[in-house]
Amino acid sequence: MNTAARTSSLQATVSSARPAVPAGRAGRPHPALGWVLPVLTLLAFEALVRSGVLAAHLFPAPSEIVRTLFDLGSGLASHIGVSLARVAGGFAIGASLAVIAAVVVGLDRRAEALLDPTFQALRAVPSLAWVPLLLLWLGIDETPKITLIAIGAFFPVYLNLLSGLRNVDRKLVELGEVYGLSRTALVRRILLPASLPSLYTGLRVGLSLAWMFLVAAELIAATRGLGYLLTDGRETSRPDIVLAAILLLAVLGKVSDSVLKSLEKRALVWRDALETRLG
Amino acid sequence: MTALLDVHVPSKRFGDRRVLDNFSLTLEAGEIVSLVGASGCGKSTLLRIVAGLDREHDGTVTLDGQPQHGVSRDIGVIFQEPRLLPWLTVAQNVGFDADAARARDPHVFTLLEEVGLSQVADALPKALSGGMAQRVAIARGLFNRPPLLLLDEPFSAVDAFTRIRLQELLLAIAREHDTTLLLVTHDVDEAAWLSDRVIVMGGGRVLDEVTITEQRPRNRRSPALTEARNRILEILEGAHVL
Repeated sequence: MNTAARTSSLQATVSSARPAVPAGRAGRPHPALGWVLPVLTLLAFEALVRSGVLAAHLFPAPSEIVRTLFDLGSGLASHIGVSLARVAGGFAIGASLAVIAAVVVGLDRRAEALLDPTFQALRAVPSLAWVPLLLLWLGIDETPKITLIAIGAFFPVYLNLLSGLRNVDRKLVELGEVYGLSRTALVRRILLPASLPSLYTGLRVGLSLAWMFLVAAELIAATRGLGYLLTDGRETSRPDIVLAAILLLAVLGKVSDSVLKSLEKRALVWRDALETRLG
Repeated sequence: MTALLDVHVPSKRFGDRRVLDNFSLTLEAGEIVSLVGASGCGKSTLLRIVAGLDREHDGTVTLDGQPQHGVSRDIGVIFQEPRLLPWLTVAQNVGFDADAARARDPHVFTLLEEVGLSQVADALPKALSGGMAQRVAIARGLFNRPPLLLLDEPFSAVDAFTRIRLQELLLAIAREHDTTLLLVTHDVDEAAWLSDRVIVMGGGRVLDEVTITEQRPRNRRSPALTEARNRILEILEGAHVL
């Protein structure tokens, strides 16, 4: 008897295979919910400054900060562009090197013994400690800034991916063995895809650190960028410029993280976890 | 019939514990043979040795006259859990050995038809039930058209009803592909219904073997199968492993 005929009664559809995700008590929260806290804070700030409770020369009202942003005009776009380029360059370099280092250390015990203690020690160095050294070694142009940001992005990506590689289900690795996969094929076809959730966690932490290291890089020896705006605002006693720069760093950090988060969501659609089930 | 598989393992140890002790097994082409025994009797270890996943032993494995020194495309393996790669679709899992570029291989879809899952070829494993996932694993195990398929308690994680359906499916597919099956199971009923021969193991050795002569298709409640099952249990009880 034909097996296809024998199994026709086994034909099943996916829809009934798993129960639907139980909806939360209030269903999916409205996307605007995240705006409530910042908007209320800004409104309260505005009211406190306008009513004179807070001194306007130290605590500029949000409306004043918005006006400052407009006044900065095309110069502001240039500052943002320069900072974005530095973060993008530094993050790309740091994250790429971290992926290579994590794969090498993760797959070879000798490489781990050789490299990991050094990485762990360097990880503990605060960002600002690198600045004088990088200025001495690399001068004051873009290179030290991008290097510093790359250092910032490197460690979270390295640590998370390494942990992901180490926690890949042994049974999946054994499946690769059954199919006689070479070491490279095992990395490409099983280890890296299985570690993708950890890699994305590392990339998101790395990106947020890249923004922090950007400010460290631009606070010293910069003539453009959002970090430079912070220094400029302090030196010219303009808290509105300082707050405008802080606001822009918050917005850019959030937007870049959202981009990475949406890429993560798309890449990890296969994950059978609460995160993907909540959508 | 000719010998397809010949295994001889004088000794296999895990530390001080001897897991296999002068174990020999020969399988004829087209045979369905089960290994039954209590946990720790060495049956899964033997399967891993035949699969080439465990090479730390002093024995020999010969497939179709060729000595085996590692994993082979001529030996398919189906594990207790489906072990599907969750980031690949059902079809890509079945055609895993052909890599992504050849995952649209028509052979994949023929196999999915046979296991009754052609409708979910593009679904991700997370959408499958346990039984469906194990059917995908069976299709993947058959992708290279291996003459020998090893199964390590393949149906122990599914419910009794699904288990019966999967046993029927496995039998039908093995017959159609002319595949020799070596199955490790705890389930004496499963061993008796599926097998031509049941090897009863205890303490790393073959205690005895029971040949099932009942014609197919078999009735699960037939006296011959009940007798075979009782005989297997008697052997296990006699060896004080039950």
